[in-house]
Amino acid sequence: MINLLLHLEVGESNGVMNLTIVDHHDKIYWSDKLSEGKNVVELDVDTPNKLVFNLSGKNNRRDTILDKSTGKILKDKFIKITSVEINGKPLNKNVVAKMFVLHTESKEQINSSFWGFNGSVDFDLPYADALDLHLTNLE
Amino acid sequence: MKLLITSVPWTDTESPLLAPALLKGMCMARGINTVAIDCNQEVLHFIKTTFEKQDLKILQEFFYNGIKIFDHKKVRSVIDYIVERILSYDPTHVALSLLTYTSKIACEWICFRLRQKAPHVKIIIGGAGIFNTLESKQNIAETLLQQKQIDFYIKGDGDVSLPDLVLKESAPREVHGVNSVEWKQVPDLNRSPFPDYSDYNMDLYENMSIGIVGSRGCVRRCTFCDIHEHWKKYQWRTAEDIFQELLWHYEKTKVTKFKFQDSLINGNQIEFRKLMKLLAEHNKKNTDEQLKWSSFFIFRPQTQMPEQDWIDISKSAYQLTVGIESINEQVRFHMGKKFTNEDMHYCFDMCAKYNIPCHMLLIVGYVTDTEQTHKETMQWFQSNKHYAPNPIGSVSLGGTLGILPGTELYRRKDELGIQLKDELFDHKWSIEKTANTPSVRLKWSAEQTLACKNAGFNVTSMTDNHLLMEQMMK
Repeated sequence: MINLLLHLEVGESNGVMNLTIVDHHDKIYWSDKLSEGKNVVELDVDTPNKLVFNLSGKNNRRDTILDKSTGKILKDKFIKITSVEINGKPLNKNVVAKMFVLHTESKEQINSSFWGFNGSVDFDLPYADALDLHLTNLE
Repeated sequence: MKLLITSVPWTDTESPLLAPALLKGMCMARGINTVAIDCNQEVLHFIKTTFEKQDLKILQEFFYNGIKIFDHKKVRSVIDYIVERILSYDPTHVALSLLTYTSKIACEWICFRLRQKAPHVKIIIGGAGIFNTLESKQNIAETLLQQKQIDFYIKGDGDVSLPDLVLKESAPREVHGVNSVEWKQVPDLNRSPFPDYSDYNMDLYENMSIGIVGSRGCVRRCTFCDIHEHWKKYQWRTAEDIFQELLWHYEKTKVTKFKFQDSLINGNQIEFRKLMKLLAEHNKKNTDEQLKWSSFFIFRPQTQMPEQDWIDISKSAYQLTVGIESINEQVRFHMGKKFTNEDMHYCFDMCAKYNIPCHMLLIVGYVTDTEQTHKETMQWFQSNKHYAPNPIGSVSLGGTLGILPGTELYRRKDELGIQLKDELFDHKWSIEKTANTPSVRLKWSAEQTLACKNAGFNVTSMTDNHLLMEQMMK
């Protein structure tokens, strides 16, 4: 068992995205509502394990608001992982930025810690031991 | 309450590390139940006896600079070995001593593992290794404190601060140097409790010598050295105090070889002469139990070190490690070394005459070095081969010059035209005007090493120098 702390930044546009976290035994670890801005999700996870982050509630046409003249995003519904801590120790930020792959509903794969589409993200925790998980996630 | 103090890998040495023993002496004198072990040496032994030969280098590279190509299971087993050794003493407090920056990575993972295995144990870290320099505000200690991986860190001398902290844990702010960048140098090194090595496994050391602190700081201000960032004031112990400690260790351990950890043993000439007289007298009376020492040593002009001094030194010294640093006199004076080539030859001649072995330190690629001074150095080895092996038993050319933060060279880098290519790697710098670049310095190093060997000198090199130079090639 490890203690996992996920630091999230949540963007609001017609509400926020829904996040549920389950493992491959369908055990539900998280299904609470997120709020706009910074959120911290704390989980005690049985390891080894594979978590699945299910993302829903976004309508791309409606929830991503662009400035039509510049193309800049004015408002968006998204979840961004800013930090991952295992047993109180953060993983390297560069590793976190590269470690997640979002599988979108339209079958695209996006390698990013910024999630702006509905879909699912796998988070593989292949070792039981927190030290192993850290040592295998050094940049 | 039980305090466990240990060194932290990685220090490439065959001798016992002093700090845990020194701190144990201080803590015991204050009534704290203390154990001091040298995990650095225990780990080196563990790795050598557990893994293949090539693993030693890979593990060392990981612990030195966090190289990411490694077998994480082997790293984990090293961390677990250390943590199990620590927890086998069932301590309430653990103090980790980081000798240099090369202890940082091991420290980080030891703390993490300790927190997991024994969350109730208070973790304290200290030593020069927790900072790039003691002036630096950025340090691993502050990061680990914020992450709650440690409870306290100590900046500066732990001699007083560590026992104070353990005894006044509920009021750490009252203790100098705790969780703070401010600290006070210990006012007097004399009459302190002696280092206690009784918990060390003495069978592990190839070089069975005991570390001694005779002074702190330095009387010189060499431009490449950051010692004054650590100890602003030069402090020394009396000859009598040091001599009593040597006798005490001999009585306790029967060890007769002592290694001074000072920047130089002969900073205070008066006390140094007294110590040489005391040792000479002792060794004359106890021919089967002669006490011998080695130390860093500075060469001085003949007027300051007449022949009688060398006669006295010869009665007890088994090696002088001398920072000659440059063969070229102008380069050496630029460094802040205050002896001429004439002085240097006088000292070597005296050492040869009285059979005092010297380990000669040189820096390849100082900021004022040029192709001309490089050639002069190679020629010097050839012209002075009569110094090999007496008195120059060995020569170390180091890993070429690093521009360390906190040094005069670092402060004057713009004036000297030094361009630092990587703030995190002290050896990657260039001076365009004189074509003094990493690749040129590596070439000089290889050629000087060859010239030195061809002239018959024994060239020694530590593994960390190889790692540095490999990194320079990248």
